[in-house]
Amino acid sequence: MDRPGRRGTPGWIVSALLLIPVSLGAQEPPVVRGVVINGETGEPLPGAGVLIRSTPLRTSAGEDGSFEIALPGTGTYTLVVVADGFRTVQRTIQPTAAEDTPIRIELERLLFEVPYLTVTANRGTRPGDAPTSIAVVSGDELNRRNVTGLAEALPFAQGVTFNAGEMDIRGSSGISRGVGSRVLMLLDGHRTLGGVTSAIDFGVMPILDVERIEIVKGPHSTLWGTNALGGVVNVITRPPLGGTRTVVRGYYGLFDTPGHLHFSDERLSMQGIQIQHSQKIGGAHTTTFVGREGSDGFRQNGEMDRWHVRAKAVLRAESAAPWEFFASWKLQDLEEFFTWLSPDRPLEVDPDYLDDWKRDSDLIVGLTARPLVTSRLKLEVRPQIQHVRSQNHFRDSDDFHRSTRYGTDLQMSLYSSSGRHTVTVGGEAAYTGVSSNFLEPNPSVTDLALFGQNEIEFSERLHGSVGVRFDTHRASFVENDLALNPKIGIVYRPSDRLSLRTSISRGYRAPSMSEQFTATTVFGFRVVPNLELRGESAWAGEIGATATRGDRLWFDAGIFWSEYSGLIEVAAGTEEIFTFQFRNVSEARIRGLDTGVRVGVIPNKLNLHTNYLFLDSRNLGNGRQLAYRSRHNLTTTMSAWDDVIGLDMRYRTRPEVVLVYPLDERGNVTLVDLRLSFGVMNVDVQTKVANLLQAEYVDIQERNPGASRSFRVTVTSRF
Amino acid sequence: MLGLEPRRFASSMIVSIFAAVLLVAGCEEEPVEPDETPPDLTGSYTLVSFTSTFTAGDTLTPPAASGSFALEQQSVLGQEATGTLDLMITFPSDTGPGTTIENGGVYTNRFDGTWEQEFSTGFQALGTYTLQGSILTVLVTEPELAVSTTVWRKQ
Repeated sequence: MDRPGRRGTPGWIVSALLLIPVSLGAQEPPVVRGVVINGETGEPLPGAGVLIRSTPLRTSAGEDGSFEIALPGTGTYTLVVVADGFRTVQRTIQPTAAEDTPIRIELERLLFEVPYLTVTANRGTRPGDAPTSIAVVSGDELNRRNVTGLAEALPFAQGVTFNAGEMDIRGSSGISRGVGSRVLMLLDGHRTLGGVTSAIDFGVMPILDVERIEIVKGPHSTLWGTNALGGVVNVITRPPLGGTRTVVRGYYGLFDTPGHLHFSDERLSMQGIQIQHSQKIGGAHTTTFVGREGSDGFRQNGEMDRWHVRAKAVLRAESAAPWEFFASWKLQDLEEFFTWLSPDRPLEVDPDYLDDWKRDSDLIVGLTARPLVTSRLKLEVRPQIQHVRSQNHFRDSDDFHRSTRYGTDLQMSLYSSSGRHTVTVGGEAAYTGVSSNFLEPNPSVTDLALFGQNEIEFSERLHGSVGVRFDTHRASFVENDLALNPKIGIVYRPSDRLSLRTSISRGYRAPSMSEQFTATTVFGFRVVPNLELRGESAWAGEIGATATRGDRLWFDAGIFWSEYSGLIEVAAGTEEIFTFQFRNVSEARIRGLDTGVRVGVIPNKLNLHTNYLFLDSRNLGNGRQLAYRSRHNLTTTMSAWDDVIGLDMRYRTRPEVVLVYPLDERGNVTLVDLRLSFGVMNVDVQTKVANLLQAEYVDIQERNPGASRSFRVTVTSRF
Repeated sequence: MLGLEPRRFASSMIVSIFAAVLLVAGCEEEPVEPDETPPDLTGSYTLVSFTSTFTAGDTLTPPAASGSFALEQQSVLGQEATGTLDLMITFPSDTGPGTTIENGGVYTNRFDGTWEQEFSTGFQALGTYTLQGSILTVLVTEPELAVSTTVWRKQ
């Protein structure tokens, strides 16, 4: 393969730095221009990613499919063009002058969307396979699935399960009851976990502006730091396409409560209206979103009312160094359903707890700045402020917390002149201050980190990655927590249709403030702080393969194992009898098999997408399985006639161990959803019957009933 | 199978057939049904010792902990007996009023030594029990949060 600048430059890091002024100062750099076309229809493909291999130079095709990238000099380059649902094209180019004829790139549609260009596993834009398992959910898939939030679509991602609404990757999490997620949730690379709880808030995530969601499985604290113990989820928003666009989406649905479980004469409904407008204002491509959603819930005391406002502006969008600013604000009132009244009346709560509710708000403001991007170097800075407020209005609790996190992340990527190495180094700093009536004392936390990574291209078919990160977690009143997290991984492609990967890495999760400092009474039980609490960690390894056969079969499988130490769990307090606190109590092992298959049974007529996750979890302290894990987890999606009809199925076996009510009956869960969609006058109409077979089940956590059957109609108009 | 094994060594077919007939006939007249009903635990007990995750694994004995446990068997079905229970354990404190656990509920004890209890507050526990003389030992293994060993003496 031809690589740029194979001129035998010694000391590539030095040369990269020397190139900066040359690149910046070049008067007439050659420019590669072109247009990306859907080969099937001849229509332009706005949003397609265009990049120069082995460099940080990249852009997105505009609304008319056109693109241009300024190159540092003449020479031979590899142009890579990617788009969800299309076969990736690589083309060798030798631009000579700015007037070169535009290149026409025609992309061939695939039956499946296969991830190729992912940014989360390596913090970069290096195309090809990463030495780890990545599942991708595209924005188009979100739309096709007719979901109202990301949590409705993510259970169908390979390796992902949801336990009582909490996201779990490969069995890492179980149920954390809203404190201390072992999955790190990012929005365009920015952390979004709550400052006090370190929990995922899906309400603050976008829904109409999602380009794709990358789910990197296994510990990835090497690059992303604390919480990346089970995996990292990065929600990547759409690149600006130019022009003015407006999307209006509304939905209305009804819950169908089984007759013998009726608790209300009112018809239980859900509804939402969302408006997103994109427009270029001056030099900025802007996107604004306003959404309001409400639901009676399918159970008593299940009402929800949520506002979500989001704004994004991208400056220098056409360049290889765009700057992206965003602000996202959510205000949510949510009634509390803690546990059912009785097995005979599972959708009702104890009358004493009727009307318990809480108000949460979350504001995230962030910037991704790329002050310096050349053919050999990319500098990226991500400052962010997050303010979270939560107030309980419970009969027996008025607990509240407010937290503000100020953080920034700085990373520099250096691309070697040989094209063989991409070195990324950087650091992260964050300060979180809180105010709360249930944290004793009210702490502040400072997180500092340094990281480095080298991605190595040994040959066209053999890639590797090695990295390390050092984290310090300094919470006031307690000792510092230090963590050193290395990783190493290799990908080998013996042919174009087969890719083999293996990796070993270490993950780390600092204790959340809730876990360390909570002092409150919950349903009569006292929870006391644990100032001795330390972070938990995991070593994990994986051997996996991805294979394709023609365009009609895609297969991925990974055998994984993780060794956890110091797992943080609720346990009996050590200072006073009959108190609870979070403690490092468990050593655990989770092994398993994570597979995904996509089959074009009848091309363009019938597609099948199936994931299977086998988990063998073990608490090494008592030899029992870990709580709230199902050994067998299966999801299947059948879609026909380009998703005019879709059938989704989820199955999981009975969790063998639960933590609170071991005598309660529990069983396997099978859920089926049916989707229908059609277009009328430029308006998409989608219908969905969730829980079609009206399964009555416990949603993994004891005495937490799963949702009844519901019917929903969604109407979306784009203009 | 019990009773058939000696036939292998019989020197005479007749003897063995005779023996077998006798055995079967004997079974019909007096079925061999080992007593697999669980022990009746009905009675009042006083606390001998209490060890739990809540005591950080320490074993508390009177006067650090004292209590009573009343069991009343209600029914027996095969290898399983069920009944009601009343429990009270007090942990005095030098500095305060101390802690008292007081609750009623139901229990199940089985012939195989397994134990289940559910308090009226909803708290559930699974484990094993042994009755040796007047000493009843209840080992709770689930939920993991409340693992405990409680030793009681029948009054």
